Amino acid sequence: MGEPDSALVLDRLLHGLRLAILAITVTTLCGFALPLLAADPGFYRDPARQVVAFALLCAVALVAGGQVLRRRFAGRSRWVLVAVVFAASASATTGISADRLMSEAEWSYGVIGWFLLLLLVDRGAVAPAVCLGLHTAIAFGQLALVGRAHESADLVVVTAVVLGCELPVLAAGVALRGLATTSAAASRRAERVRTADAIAEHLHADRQARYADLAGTTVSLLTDLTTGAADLADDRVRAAYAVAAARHRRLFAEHDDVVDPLLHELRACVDLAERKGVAVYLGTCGDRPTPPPEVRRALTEPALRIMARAARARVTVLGSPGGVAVSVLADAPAAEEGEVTGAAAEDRAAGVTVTRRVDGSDVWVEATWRVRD
Amino acid sequence: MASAGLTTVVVVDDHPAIVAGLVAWCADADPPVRVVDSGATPAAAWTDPGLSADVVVFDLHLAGQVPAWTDLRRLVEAGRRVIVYTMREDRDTILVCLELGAFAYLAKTEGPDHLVPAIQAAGRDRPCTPPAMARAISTDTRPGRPRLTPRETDVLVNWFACESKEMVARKLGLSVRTVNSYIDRVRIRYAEAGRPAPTKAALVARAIQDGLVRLDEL
Repeated sequence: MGEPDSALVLDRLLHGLRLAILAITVTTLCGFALPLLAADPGFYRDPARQVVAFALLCAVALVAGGQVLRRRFAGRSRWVLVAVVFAASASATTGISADRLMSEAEWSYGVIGWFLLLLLVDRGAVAPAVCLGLHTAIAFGQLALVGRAHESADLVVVTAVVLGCELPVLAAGVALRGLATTSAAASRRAERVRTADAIAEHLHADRQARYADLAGTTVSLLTDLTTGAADLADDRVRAAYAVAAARHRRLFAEHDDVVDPLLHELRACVDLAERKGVAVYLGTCGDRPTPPPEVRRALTEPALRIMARAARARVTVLGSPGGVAVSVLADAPAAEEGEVTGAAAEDRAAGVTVTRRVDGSDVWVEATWRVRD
Repeated sequence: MASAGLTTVVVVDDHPAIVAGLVAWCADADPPVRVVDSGATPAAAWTDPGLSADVVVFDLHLAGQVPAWTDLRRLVEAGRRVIVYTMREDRDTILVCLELGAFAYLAKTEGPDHLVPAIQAAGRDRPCTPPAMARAISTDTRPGRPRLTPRETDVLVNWFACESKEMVARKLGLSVRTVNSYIDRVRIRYAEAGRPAPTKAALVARAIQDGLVRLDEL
């Protein structure tokens, strides 16, 4: 996530800088170089080379300007443009006689640097700095080659003025890059904190809702236990405690991060029943979708209630692509109050249908949930 | 073939308690079932008196960790009716056993209710599909499997869930006889599929005699 974030911020910041460089480049080319060139073409040894150089730079300005305005960054094609810029520089500086190289009419020296910056500023600091250095070095080399080394001091002054304008812009680019990285990191940190906050808040609300569900039943059971009002010799009273305990176990299991939450929560209920001495067989059949938490609770509830009163139980999870059923076959005594006694009933909130069949001492209860289309 | 209604059994299992339990269950069986020999290795089934027993009850996981596929295949190829009675109840193990020609497959959790009826059925070449086997068949996804109708799958899954054909019949609005015929016809189709084995042929022949399936259905 970090990379695209920081790239996005950098892209926005660099766009402004590139627009500024484009404006400077075009202004220098048209407002500074063109008048010099047009003032006296006859002054040059080879005016055609001057025209070619100017035309090449105009072409580069058009292409690069188009890219800047469309917020595009050139790939390898930028190096072709850099080569064209150097070619224009060569064309301009060789089209003027050696003794006039340091005269004001040599218009290209102050322009080339801006083109290099325009083409390379988004690449970081190294590439533009190297190209600017190369251009300066070539200028000094050329002066020496044509036997005008004594004019080097003039070139140093001119270079100081030109680079004095260009290097701060390059430094600004580097600073913007640093700024983008830190701002992206800061926004990532803030995002992480916000996400963690939201999750914690959600979990807290969820837990409070679940504990509120249990508080109504559990607190009264515990109160009865402490005051001695509960008659533990009564099977039904013991079953009520077993149901409450199993619901707690299921609640704890709901917080676990597992592949098959329905089976995991069912195992939590079965585990408690087995500790009580109920012989439980737990089996699954077929693949099944994973139901949402409230559906899982409605599906496991009948099994949980029956196991609280049975001596043996066969619990099976029956899956099909269209839904899932939790089936319990047990030797449960007569139905307890509030339990489904008819052929079918529906937990409307969760969309779970519960059917119940009795055969002699056995009772077969099935809770079925269908995936809604 | 069982003579005079008596089915004889040889037990291949390395746990003495399993053998003792099976002897006790068989003592109360009606029609009668008698355990004639037992042993911790398949040798018990290859030597007298085990050699002449009608049915072999076979633990697939003897001593070693690897299922005894080879021993099972040899017994089946010799025309023995083998009931695999073992710890595992995963689908693939069960389907491989059926493919090899086992008469029936029972998980050890199913023993008390289903082992003796399975032995009696095997002694008479009649199909028997205990719940774990029904589940394996209903969830079979192998490419060459016999195709089941939705109703057949329904019957098998409910039989696995409640272990009572009466309750399955009531739930699906069928007679117990129809529920049995759904389960048995699926079993016969599985006997017809896959590698040929003498026991499978006997099972199919018997099913045709009983009118459970017609020749042109296979």
